[in-house]
Amino acid sequence: MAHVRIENVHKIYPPDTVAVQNANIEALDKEFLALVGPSGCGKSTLLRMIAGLESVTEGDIYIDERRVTHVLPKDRNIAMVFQNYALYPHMTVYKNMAFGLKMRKTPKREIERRVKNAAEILGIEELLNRRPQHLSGGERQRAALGRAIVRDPKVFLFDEPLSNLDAQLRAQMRAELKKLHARLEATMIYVTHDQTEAMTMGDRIIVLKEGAIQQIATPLHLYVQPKNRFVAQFIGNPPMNLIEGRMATREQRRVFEAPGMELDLPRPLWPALQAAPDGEIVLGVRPEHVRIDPEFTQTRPTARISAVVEVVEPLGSETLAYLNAEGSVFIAKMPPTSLPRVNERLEAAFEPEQIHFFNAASGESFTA
Amino acid sequence: MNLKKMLRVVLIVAVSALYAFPVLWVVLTAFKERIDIFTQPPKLFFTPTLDNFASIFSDSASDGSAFSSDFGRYFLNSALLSFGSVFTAIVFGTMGAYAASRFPFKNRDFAMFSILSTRMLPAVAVVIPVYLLYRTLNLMNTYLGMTLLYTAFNLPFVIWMMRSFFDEIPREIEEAAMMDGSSRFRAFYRVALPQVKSGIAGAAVISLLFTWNEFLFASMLTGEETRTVPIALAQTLQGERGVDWGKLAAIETLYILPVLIAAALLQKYLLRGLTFGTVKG
Repeated sequence: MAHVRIENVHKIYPPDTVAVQNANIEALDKEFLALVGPSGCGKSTLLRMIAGLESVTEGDIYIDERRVTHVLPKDRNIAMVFQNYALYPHMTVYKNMAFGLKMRKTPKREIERRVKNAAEILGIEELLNRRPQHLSGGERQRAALGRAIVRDPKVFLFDEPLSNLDAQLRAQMRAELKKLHARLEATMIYVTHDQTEAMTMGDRIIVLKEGAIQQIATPLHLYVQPKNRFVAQFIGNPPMNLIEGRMATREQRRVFEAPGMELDLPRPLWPALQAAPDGEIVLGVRPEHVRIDPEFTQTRPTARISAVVEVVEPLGSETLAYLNAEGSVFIAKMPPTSLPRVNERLEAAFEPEQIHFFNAASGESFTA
Repeated sequence: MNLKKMLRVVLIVAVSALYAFPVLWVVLTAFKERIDIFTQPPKLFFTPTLDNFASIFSDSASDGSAFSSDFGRYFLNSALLSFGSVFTAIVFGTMGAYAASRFPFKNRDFAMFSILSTRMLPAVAVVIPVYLLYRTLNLMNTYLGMTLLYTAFNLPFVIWMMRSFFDEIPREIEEAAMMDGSSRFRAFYRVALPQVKSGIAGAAVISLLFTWNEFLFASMLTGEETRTVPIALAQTLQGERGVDWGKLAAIETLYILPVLIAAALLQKYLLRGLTFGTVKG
């Protein structure tokens, strides 16, 4: 297997649309690397440049230390699974899977063996003689996967392969892809706009926004220590609460001040926070770190926030409450059994060690 | 069968009859003896004869009317020019259409418009310049000249029609083929082309009809060696002893046949959609 390195890659569509700027990425051998970001962030362009389907404006791409920046897709020994599967409609599943091997002049016997083997792994032996139009979405997905794995390529690229499946099938395929990755021990680069997919499957995740890499980290690291406001809000469901406010001085203390709340700022952060223009900062706290249970709030008399419950969403495994503290709106995640009433006024508090602060102007985190 | 359905059938039959009647009349005439052709009221039932057909390929006219002809050769000419130019137009037009669909080259829209604009002038307006051009280039009365001309006429149509077909198939399928080890040309040939078969069939039949029946340019630019059937047909009308309707009808009957056969053979592909449902999720 292989590793992929991307060095200072830029992609500019004429005349001046920047799709990817200064990307530096390394996918390690056998790694499952997830590229995630909202639509139009350049993640597909990046993937297509690795595939060779898109030219590189500037920079270089290496596969196993071989510079492939200008190598044709056919000579890169990469397999790609597309969002719309891109199966050859005029060929049976068998021929779809055999096509790449045939192009590489593999002996017929060997083709047969490998197609059978791949079909077995994916459980599609029954479908080999069918045409794509007679397959369901999930079956097409498997056929497309089969076409990729028979070739035993150096690198697998996935371009939103699960987006066309319904939610249930998507969850199932997610697990299967993960198992497949473990079984093939292959390097895989996976593009998705769905942070859940990225979090559940990626060994590491690259978050992209407007063509620029925001952060590269393991899923948990991204979740716990987002480098900026964008990552904080993009990763996690429901997203991190962001409350805009400002830094103020109260005698010997520095506080975060926002409608309905006034919270002490931890002393170690004071010097860094000076960098915020006009003292404008954004507080970030994940919904599960917003507490309304009295055992917790009682112990924090100075950090209590009085808020009104606006919406309650009982999800079964947990309950979400949308709280409003005089204009500052945030979500609290709590156990399924606690069901506050709408319009009820209650006391909330944030777990202090879990609070993030961001520069309101640049979005950069002061805490990560 | 309810009334609505019956009405519909009646209407279809009536319209078809209206369209088919002249053709039927020609075909009937082709099998009639001279006497039967002129009988009033017209005979629907008669003893058929093949004399008219036989006369086409013999040098003397069936009743001695004044044209000697070499219709075997004219048929061959029509076939050569039609198939030659349609084949060339399809080969190059399909490739051009693929390029126009897949590569966003500079001034693409303008190029496409220019290609179409060559067909915007009425043929009559073009015929004199082409005549002068062909005389200067010594292309008058040559197979090459006529094939080039008809190819040029068919190309814009083929390019435009095929482009819309290529635009409809997702490019990821060719990209998948390229990832699978094909060159761009191979992806085009092995993966894109099979998906636009119906388009090619349609474009070929329509181009064929146009070329097969073309009259104006053929009348100006062909001579004895390259004469096509429509021109020869028109000349049979100028006989000294009246028109040999039987022979004329026989020629027409034979002349319709190849196009009918081509259309029938390609009908499967002409039903667009049969092979055209690309894979969606």
